[in-house]
Amino acid sequence: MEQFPDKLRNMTISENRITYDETCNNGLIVNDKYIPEELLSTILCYIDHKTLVSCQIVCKRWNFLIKSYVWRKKAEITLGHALPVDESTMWAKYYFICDKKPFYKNLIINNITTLFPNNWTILNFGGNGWAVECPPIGVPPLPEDPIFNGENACFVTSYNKCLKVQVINLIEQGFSKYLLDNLQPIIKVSEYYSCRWDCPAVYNCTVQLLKEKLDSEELFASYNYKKLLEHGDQNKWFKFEHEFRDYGKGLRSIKFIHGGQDTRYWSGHYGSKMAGASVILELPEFPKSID
Amino acid sequence: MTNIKLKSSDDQVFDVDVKVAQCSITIKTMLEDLGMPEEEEDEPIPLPNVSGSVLKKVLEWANYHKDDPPINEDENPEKRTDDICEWDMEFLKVDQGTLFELILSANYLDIKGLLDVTCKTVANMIKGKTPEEIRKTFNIKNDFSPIEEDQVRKENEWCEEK
Repeated sequence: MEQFPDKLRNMTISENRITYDETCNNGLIVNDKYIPEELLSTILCYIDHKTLVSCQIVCKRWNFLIKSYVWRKKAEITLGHALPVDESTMWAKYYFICDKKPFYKNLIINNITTLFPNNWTILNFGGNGWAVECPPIGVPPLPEDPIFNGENACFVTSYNKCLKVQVINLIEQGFSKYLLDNLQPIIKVSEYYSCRWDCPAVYNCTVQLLKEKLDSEELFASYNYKKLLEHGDQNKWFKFEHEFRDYGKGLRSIKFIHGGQDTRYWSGHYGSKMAGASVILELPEFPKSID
Repeated sequence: MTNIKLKSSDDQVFDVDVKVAQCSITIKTMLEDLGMPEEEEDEPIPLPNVSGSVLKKVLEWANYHKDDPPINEDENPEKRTDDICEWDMEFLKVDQGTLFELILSANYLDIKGLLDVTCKTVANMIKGKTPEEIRKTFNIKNDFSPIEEDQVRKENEWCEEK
């Protein structure tokens, strides 16, 4: 959640504002009583976010007050902390915050403290298998990034193929089918990886977008990233990043598979290292036509 | 028990227990600034923004709630509206005109608890209503042009989950 304000600040999406006549009192005269703007805004903050959507169509003044103030205020109440005032932030972002949709949040649970139990499922346990290092050995400390949640730890692979996977069920996370199909949230994936100063290694990561449930899963987008770390690339942290957009209707889960091995077949854990795996859903630009 | 006098916009004078009157931060501050009235013959405190009938309601509310602990913002951070106590529900079974008068007075007199519960009541009245129903409820004119209204409705489709 800590990253949220920055993310919002970076959104510069223009939204067509509807102008209203400032001298006209329509919308401020409620039931023949004049209610000052500040007070009307206070009242509107009590309205549940679903009804607030309808309130935007009541009249121009309400529309303006809700978009310019009430949505942000409600989002702040939901989050429990202040958000930057940014005119260009579209109101729908605040709506989805109020609706507690897990946008702008890392959906991967890294929890690099122990291998068992862990949220990852091990697919290959080659060589001496997977291990965790806290702190990472033979490499510099992890870069400063909130994605690590303050953990200074990484996974490390061995001299034969090591692979593990984490599956994110988007419906269980709270995204509705309607939202996924019609909004086509941007899916940002990334991870930090490295290898020791004294042993080259291979890192790879595959992210798959899947339809429906796992037993009848159907793949409709996949991104594969592979990197050989040797010579000057050793003893450094790198970050791979990828974005999925406009992937089509039917997305229900995401598979994040990562792994690697060293290239010298050294006994122990001299393979590639990784930390801060992340899958974040963001709202696309606004407006977008809905079929 | 000390009493003070409050005078409404229509010159009705109310003799009120100080503790009740001090539910209003506005009055409390006034008393702190002016000092407590010492004599019974003291001039009543004028409240030019509150009519007698509404002030009577406000004081009735304040009298019931005078021993309430101060409102803690953190206790209801999400502005729930389903936690109105039974007495308040019964108390707020009034016509809409009175309800909004109470909101305006609670705002002017700075009575947080009353403002909170009256705003919640309005929110509950609106909950689940269509824009047209809301306009009718509050007598608000639709001042969107058809093109503008269409634009707003299109934006709103984002949030309509089916």
